[in-house]
Formats: sequence, structure tokens, C-alpha cells
Amino acid sequence: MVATSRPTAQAAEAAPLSPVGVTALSTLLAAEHAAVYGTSAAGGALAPLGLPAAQARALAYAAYTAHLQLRDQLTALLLAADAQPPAALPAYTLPVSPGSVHGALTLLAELDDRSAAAAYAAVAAVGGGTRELVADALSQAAVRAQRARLAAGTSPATAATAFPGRP
Amino acid sequence: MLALPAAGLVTAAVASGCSTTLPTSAIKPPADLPSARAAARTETELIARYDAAIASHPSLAGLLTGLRAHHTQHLAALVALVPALSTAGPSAAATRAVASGAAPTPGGTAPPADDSPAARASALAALAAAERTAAGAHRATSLATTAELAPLLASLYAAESCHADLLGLGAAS
Repeated sequence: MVATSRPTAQAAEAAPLSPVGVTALSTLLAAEHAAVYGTSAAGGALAPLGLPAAQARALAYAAYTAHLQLRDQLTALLLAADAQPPAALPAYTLPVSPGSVHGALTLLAELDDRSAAAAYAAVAAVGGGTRELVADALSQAAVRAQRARLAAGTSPATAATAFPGRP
Repeated sequence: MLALPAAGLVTAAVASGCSTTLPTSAIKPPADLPSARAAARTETELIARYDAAIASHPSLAGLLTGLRAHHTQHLAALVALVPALSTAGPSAAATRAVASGAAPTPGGTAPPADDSPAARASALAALAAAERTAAGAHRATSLATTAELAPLLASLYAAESCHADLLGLGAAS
């Protein structure tokens, strides 16, 4: 990965959350719930596809574990702020069907783009260690989305975006 | 486009009856000018590195021109958010020139550069390292700055991280 510190143990030194911060982190957590579901679905769809899907499977697994970790950190932050973390839905409508390697990679890119957008929206609403967590989440989601686009055959110039997360 | 904020300042100065000095703070709450200026300097330096790499390795121009364009967009976004960037400070003229997308002005003909595959790989690796350093700088600034500037800087942190990753893949292949 790129030189970004992993968002571990930052929750402990989090600044107190404002109501706006609680809303922003709850929105990000909802996106993470969807991403955990979607990356898991991508991994499941890729599992029987064998060697040609090996790279996509590795990307799906890396994304899944990252979203799982961020989900748990956000949940802990909201609980520590006496807020009610939004629960995961039983199922989510996938924006792209992961039935093929290309579809699964497109799904991974879309999920990480959505996660990056939610992280971007949260940056201004939080401070201190929580902003660090959210900014790192934005950067890491952007890198994963770009890797998924590259693996799907998008040209490098198109796979990179000028303002990750920005609407 | 860049003249508009300055005209706005003048209008505000006249409207408020202040005819001798321009207001030093922006009309909105004062922006974190030092942070914006540091970020703009980071972008300007990256653009210069891309210009040098493109000049030495024309075969990489396809990829590098696209990434360079992101940095001119970054600079323009910083100026749009903090108009004082283009009207104050020693590097304002350079910032204005680069943000407006002005082409680099070659200062004479450089000696023919080594365009071997090994030299290209090392040029990509050097750019990747510069992007990584820039990502770290934007990250640190985004954590310390105001809520107004932090989202853009966080996005620039993400963008340079992506560039570093992309160039790293290119240097390795």
C-alpha cells in the first residue's frame, strides 16, 4: 500500500463528537455496512472462477477486511460518544452485478468510490484523531478504487481521479 | 476568472468607505492562508517535476500529462477556495501562471536525456516518491487546518496517494 498509516488505535484519542460529527460518521458507517456486504458478495462471486480471477479476488479480500475494520472503528467511536450506531441492513441492492470478473471489479470500484465520498463528507465534521481516521479512510478507499479500475482494464489516465471523494 | 475575487475585494473596500487600504482578511471568515500556501507550493513543485520528466521521457507523456493535469486542477481548486492565494505572497505570480494552465516555458534546449527503459523506470520511481511525500504533506496539513480547507486537502492527500500507487506500478513493470 501507499505510505499511509493504518487507522488503528486512533479511536482511543478521538476528539469529542459534535452532533454534525455524529451524523457524518453515521453516514460513513452506513456506507461501510454496504461495502462490507458488497465486497463480501464480490468475493463470493469470484470464488469459483479460479486462476483468472485471482487478482480480483485479492482486491475483494483486501477491500472487505479494510471496510470491516473501519466499520468496527466507527461503531466504537459512535458508542463512545453515546450515539446509536446505525445497524447493517439484512441485504443491499448491489449497484453492479459481480457475476463476472469485470463486474466484480466494477462493483469494488463503485463501493470504494461511495466510501470515499462519505469519508470526504465527514472530514470537515470531525477533528483530531477522528479526522485522521476519516482522511486515511478516504485515501485508502481511493487507492483501492483505482486498483480495481486498473484491474478491470481502465487506462491509467482514466483510473486516476483528480479529486477522490469530492462530489 | 482569477481577476474576479480581486475585483470583489476592491468593491468591498469601496462599499465600506475604505478608500486607502484594501482589507487584509477575506470577506468570508479568514481562511487558513499559510496552509493553503503550503499546499499550493507542494502542487507547484510537483508540476515542475512532471514537466522535467515529460521533457526527458517523451514516451511517458501519455501517462504523465494526465497526472500533471490533476495537479494544475488541484492548484486551481486551492485558488478558488482561498482567493488570497493569487493576490498575496511571493509565489502568487507563479501560482497564477500554473493554475491558469499555462504551458511550461522551456528555458533553452536541454541536453538530450537518457530515455532508456531503466532511466524511465527510475524517473517513474522518483515521481512516485515525490507524490508520496506530497501526500504526507497534504495529510498533515488537512489534519491541522480549518474545516473549510480540510476536505480539499484530504482529497489531495488521496489523489497523490493514488498517483504514487499508479506510478509505483508503472515503475515496477
